[in-house]
Amino acid sequence: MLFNSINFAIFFPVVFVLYWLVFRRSLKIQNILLLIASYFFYGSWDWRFLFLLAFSTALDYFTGFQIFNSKTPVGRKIWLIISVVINLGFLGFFKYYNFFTESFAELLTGLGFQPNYTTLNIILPVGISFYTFHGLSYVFDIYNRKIVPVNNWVDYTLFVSFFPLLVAGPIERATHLLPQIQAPRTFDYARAVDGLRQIVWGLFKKMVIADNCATYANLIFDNPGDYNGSTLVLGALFFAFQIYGDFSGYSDIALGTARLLGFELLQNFRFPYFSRDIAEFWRRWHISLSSWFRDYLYIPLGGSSGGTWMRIRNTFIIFLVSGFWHGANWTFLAWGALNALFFLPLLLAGKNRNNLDVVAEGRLFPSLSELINMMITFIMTTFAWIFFRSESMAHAFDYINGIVSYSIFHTPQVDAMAVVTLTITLLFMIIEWLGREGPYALSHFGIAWPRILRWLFYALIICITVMFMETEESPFIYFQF
Amino acid sequence: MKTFCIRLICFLLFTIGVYIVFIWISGNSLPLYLRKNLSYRAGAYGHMNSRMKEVRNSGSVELLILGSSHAYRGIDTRYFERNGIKTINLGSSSQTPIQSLMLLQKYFDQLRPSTVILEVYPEIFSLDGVESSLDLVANDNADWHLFQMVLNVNHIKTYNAFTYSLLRQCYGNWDDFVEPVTKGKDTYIKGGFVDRKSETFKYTNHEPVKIIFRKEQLEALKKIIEFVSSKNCKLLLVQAPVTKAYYQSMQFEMNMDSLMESYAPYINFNGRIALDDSLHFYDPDHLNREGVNIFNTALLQFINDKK
Repeated sequence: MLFNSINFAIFFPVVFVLYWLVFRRSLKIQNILLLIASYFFYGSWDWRFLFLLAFSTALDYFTGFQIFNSKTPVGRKIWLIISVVINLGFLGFFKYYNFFTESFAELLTGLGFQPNYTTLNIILPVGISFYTFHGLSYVFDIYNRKIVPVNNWVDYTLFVSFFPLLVAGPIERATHLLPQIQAPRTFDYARAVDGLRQIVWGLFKKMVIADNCATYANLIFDNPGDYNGSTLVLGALFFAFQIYGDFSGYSDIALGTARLLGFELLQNFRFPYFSRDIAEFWRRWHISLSSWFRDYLYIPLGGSSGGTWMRIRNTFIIFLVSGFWHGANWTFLAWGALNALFFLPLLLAGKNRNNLDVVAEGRLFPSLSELINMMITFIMTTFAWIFFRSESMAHAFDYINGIVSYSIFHTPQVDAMAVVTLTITLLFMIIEWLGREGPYALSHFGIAWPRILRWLFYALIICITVMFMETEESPFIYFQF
Repeated sequence: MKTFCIRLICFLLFTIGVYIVFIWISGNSLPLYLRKNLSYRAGAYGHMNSRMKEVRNSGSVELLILGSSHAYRGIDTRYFERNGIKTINLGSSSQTPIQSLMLLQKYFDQLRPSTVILEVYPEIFSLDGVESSLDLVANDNADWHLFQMVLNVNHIKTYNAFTYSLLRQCYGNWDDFVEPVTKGKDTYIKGGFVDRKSETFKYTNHEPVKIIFRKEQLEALKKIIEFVSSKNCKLLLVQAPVTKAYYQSMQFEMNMDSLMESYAPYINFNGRIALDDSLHFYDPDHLNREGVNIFNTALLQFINDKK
């Protein structure tokens, strides 16, 4: 069940009405309702995946208790290792089995052997990377004595499977979401309206920006040899906006949906394309994943506390693992490595925490240096996206070769609709710029207008969404991760 | 909560109002590429506008023809008139059984045919029917039958086009389009046939075409059969000929001939009449004048046999 589907448009209002009107007096029943709704939501993809989700949940629930009750540090560590190995084992099998088998076979072939191997036709359970990380954060936090295990299995199961975040995050932390699940919730008008606004904006990002950009990104990336350099540049630009609109749109809908139910989820995006350097970009892009890796990988590895080599090593590890988390392909590793290379100069110069504030805060326009820095950062991230989008390393290099040619000075080979898509994307980025001081663009933009103007603005966003949305159903990119 | 629900309902009503205005302004003033999901083009393909204008003013006929472009480009109403059969051809581009059913329900009582020919081009069973619905919405008056078809197709483009058509109808200018009788190589012939200047065809390789039978199209076909039967009328299913090479490129999900025969009297003209891929077609699947003559002679024989 996709957020941008008729099924969800029926499913969610039903849950909302039952949740606030029928069961509002009992927290326990509200949580059970959300749990049933979450399993129904997840089962609508493939009911067989429910067993995997239930097993993963039970495993972490059980090992959480075992870690907490272990009398010795060795016992705690053993239970932690059991949890991590089984969780990552499942993830590895479903996501990486074929990749490792094929890569190993290629290596053997390169060495002159003739390997006899088989790959499996494995269906990747949707959202497995996300709920595995949810569960692991719970186990890690118990191990690190940040939290104590939850005694109520409904609460814990809901923490792992809460439908707004189940299939593509944000990757929540037990310390943040569990207390909200355990505390009574009251309907808050302002929060509900804000949630609706965020859903509208998220749908616009996904259905108008991402899906329309995807048409051209797919066309150009699928046949790079047919296009001149300037069109290939446009293709990379289209993909940059596609992936931003797709994933941040999904996150907005997830956060908005959760807010309508009285929950505050972790912010996942903070206008990453207005970043002034790569370090700032990574503080603003897929924040819940970056902070997960920071807390559970980077810091345990020593973080920035060691010498220069340790910092370089840890930076590369975190970016490579992040790349590999996205998928079993060398292109994701290359994307991670490239970002690590972009990040390294800032780290070595001690400038990786220079831009912690909002760009041009309190001003309408950025300064010239801010503008140049934003453009350079955007070009670097877009260049890295080429690897992310490509099917293989050869595909990525062919694409880049096509860009680096005289044909980059030719007129792009695109139709009128591509120009319309770019124009809408530009308008979208202007609204994003004007609303960049809030958690999402519409939370600030137009908020002080008279109601009739505000309603007209939101109604127009809906009209434009309906008029320009892609009519073919298109899943969110991050579902495959 | 109460305030939230009331304001939400008010906002939704407000948005519907804005949307209607938005559709009206977009349809009247924006070029097609600026209104991606509002595709409203009167007289776009195959002289549909002329055909619908004619049927609205037509009296009873003996033979009603429905189907895709193979119907309105392949079945010459003049030939049947010459043989004493008053005929009207309501074929339209990519017409699927969903649209055929709508046309039948809408115009049957007015036309009162004794025989209905439904041309069943295999590929139409694989289509969702959106394009053909848009063609009908833009060229026929918006009414309950058309609305039911729009609901059946269930696509944002058809909803938008229907809303716009309804607005035009309310405003009184929905039928102001005047379609030229001759457009390019095509000439509209009274009765619904479209005559193409005589051409021959040089065949090039054709990619394999997968023919899938969509559930909703088969259901619409069943409803057509039930409807025609309830009116004590005869229904004949006809598969018009295409080039041999093209026909061979079709990969059927199931045996179409057996399937169609299970529904109603059916004939597949592919391989049944002597046609040459180059001499009797102007493209891979449309007959030229000479081809139409051969096909229509055989079709009339089939109709007479089934009397």
